[in-house]
Amino acid sequence: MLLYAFCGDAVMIVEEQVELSKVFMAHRSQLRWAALKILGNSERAEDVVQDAYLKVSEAAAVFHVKQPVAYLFQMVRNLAIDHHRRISFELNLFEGEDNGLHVPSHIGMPEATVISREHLKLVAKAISELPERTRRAFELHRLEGQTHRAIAAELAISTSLVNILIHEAIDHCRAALQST
Amino acid sequence: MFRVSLKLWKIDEFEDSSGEHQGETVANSEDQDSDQVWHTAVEWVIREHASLDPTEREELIGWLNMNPAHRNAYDEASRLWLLTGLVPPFEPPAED
Repeated sequence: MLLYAFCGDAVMIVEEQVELSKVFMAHRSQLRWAALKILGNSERAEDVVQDAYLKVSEAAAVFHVKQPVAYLFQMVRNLAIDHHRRISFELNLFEGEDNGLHVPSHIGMPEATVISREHLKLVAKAISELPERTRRAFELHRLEGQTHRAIAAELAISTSLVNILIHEAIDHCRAALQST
Repeated sequence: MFRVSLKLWKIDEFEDSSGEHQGETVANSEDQDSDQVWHTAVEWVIREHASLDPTEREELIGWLNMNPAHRNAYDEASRLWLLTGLVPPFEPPAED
């Protein structure tokens, strides 16, 4: 059963994207502020907001996003956290190798990962196929950023089971991409 | 340092391959290894998302530098992580 409202029809896609652009423009400075709070650097915050816009536009071509404002903020936060982590991590990774003289040029840039609509569809479908509890645990973790402990309390299960469910969700998504 | 780790990896494989059905054993142990590497990579991505302290970060960097397969699995897990983050929250279909 396909539970997501995939927009098969081109008119719908355009409407979704136009709607999202409007929401984006209307909230641009707040979105940048949200990213800035996490990154502490206005140039990077701007990059992340731009990157979020591109990625969310792709997502809007695939999904019907019911609450675009909340969704945009969630994406900016998620991407800013991922970005922040990646910068500090990659600087660490290359530190000491060449005294930092040959730090790869992509560092500090938003991830160059190209979001494929096909992959987005496959991953959404895979998530919709998960058993209810697994999907819920995964969403609380991935989208709402809740800790294992908080998820365990909400679903009345152990933290180790929370971790197992998150792994199962990711493994299922991976299998969905590999099957193509 | 990188070469040494790679060498150790090969020795592990070699030792695993002792047995009557050599080819089969090697294939199975490679499957198990790659499953284990994938599981560890996902675990790191999950832990990273929750935040790592400096010691854990060093541990992750050590793990990534140990074997190119670790880095590949980690990159794949990170990409998947990004994709899943773009999927809007599930909403049950409206009942007609």
